[in-house]
Amino acid sequence: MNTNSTADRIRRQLSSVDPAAHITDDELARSRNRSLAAMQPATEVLPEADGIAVPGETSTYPAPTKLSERRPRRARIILMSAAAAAVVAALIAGDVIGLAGWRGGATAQAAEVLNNAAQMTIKTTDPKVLPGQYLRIKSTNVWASYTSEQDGSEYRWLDTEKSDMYIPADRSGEWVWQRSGRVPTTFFDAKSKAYAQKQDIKPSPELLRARSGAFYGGPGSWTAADLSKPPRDPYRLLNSIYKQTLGRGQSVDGEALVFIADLLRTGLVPADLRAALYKAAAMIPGVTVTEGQANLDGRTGVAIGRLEEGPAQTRQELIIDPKTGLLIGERSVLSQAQIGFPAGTATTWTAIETSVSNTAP
Amino acid sequence: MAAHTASHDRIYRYFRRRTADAATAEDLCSEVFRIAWEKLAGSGELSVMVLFGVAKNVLRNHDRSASRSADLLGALRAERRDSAPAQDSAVQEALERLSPDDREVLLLTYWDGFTPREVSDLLNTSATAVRMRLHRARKALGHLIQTQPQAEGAEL
Repeated sequence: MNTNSTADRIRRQLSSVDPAAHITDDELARSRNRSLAAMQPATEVLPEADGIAVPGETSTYPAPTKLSERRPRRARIILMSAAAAAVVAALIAGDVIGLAGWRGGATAQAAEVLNNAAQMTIKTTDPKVLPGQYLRIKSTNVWASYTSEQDGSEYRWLDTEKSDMYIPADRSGEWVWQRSGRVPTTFFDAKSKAYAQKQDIKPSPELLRARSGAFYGGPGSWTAADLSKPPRDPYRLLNSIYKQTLGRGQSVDGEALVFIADLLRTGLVPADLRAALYKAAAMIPGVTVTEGQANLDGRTGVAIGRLEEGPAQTRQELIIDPKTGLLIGERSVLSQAQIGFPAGTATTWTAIETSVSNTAP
Repeated sequence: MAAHTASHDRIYRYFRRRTADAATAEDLCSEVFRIAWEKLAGSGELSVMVLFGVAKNVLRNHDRSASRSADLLGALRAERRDSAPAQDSAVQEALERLSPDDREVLLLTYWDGFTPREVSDLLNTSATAVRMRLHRARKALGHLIQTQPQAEGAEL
């Protein structure tokens, strides 16, 4: 190569002022670990061509957090043999005949709460968003952070982010999204607290605006999801969910409930579909009342959940206000201590509240 | 996961070059992988270019009150304060005087190692426009740092 060429000379000059020229391996390793931890396998199930596509739950709400990518126990395990999967795949080719219904369902107590909530939901009409108004979805989101340094020391805590989204009546209009940024809020040991303080993690509040909800330049998956499409018949709805989540997660039933929770927490689900989702949850084997008086973000409801018995040892729960049938939120709770998080920790939760607003920030 | 292995370091450097400090770069980088994973995991293997598309948008949304070029210049100045020998400041000043568009094409090419085709994909412009800007930026930089501009190398 001709070292006198302009291109080469400029290359040399520019590399001499490259701010990234002296990045240490430690610095790279730290970021690598953190962005690995940000990749959350539970959301693999979301984008789907048919049936339900969960709208941009992606950016608004943290999905169940992967605690540590390097922890083999947390790897996603498909428990089915190939032969079993083939049979199941044949069964669920359509949503009329499928996994739903014939393998048992939720406990009687859980089914009662869910079916009552569905009855109340079906009777309510969603507040109408008139032209010029916004559907406002306010949420508190918590999820786990876990990091380890090269010397093997490990740190963990929970982060909180408040989110406030304004969706215009005309969904192709400008959406507004206020995010508080993540702030470490809950610690389980002094070492991690000191570590987080030393990192000086400052929340970076954001006020985002995007037509059609295409925040971060995404394909606008919020609006891409056509929530009028999924079946309102709970049996067919559940089959269509199984069809989409099959082979993901640690069990077909666990993943189906995760799917329902993910969809509900968007706050975008119309009343008739919410009711159908409740009824579908009532048909999932292993679903039970896990806490009669569950507190989420200061509101109390009944926790309906399902324990994942596999390596995850996690309980996915929906928290429902039994008086109104309204969803308070959802959470994912560790049923045994894991990588320093005590048993009972809700490593991810989202509490939502929807209303109609005349104005947006 | 493969996409992460293949792209993380490049994306981190991309942010490190365009934001004020390591902590910001780390934040934005993890945001990219979170978004990519959640939004795009179902749509096939994530290519480096798809991830950079997300990275570009994350950067654009990052702290809307501070313009991106201000960030870039801030990073350059910080670097200069830290370590740069005197002769480098001429290059930095020359960079600062380029138009933001020309500068970005130049830096995507030389710092981030993109081909003109990739730069045009990333910036949603034609490859011809990218080559023109690159030509212009190199020429301007050559003048600004007061060395003899030479025949344009075509080896990019």
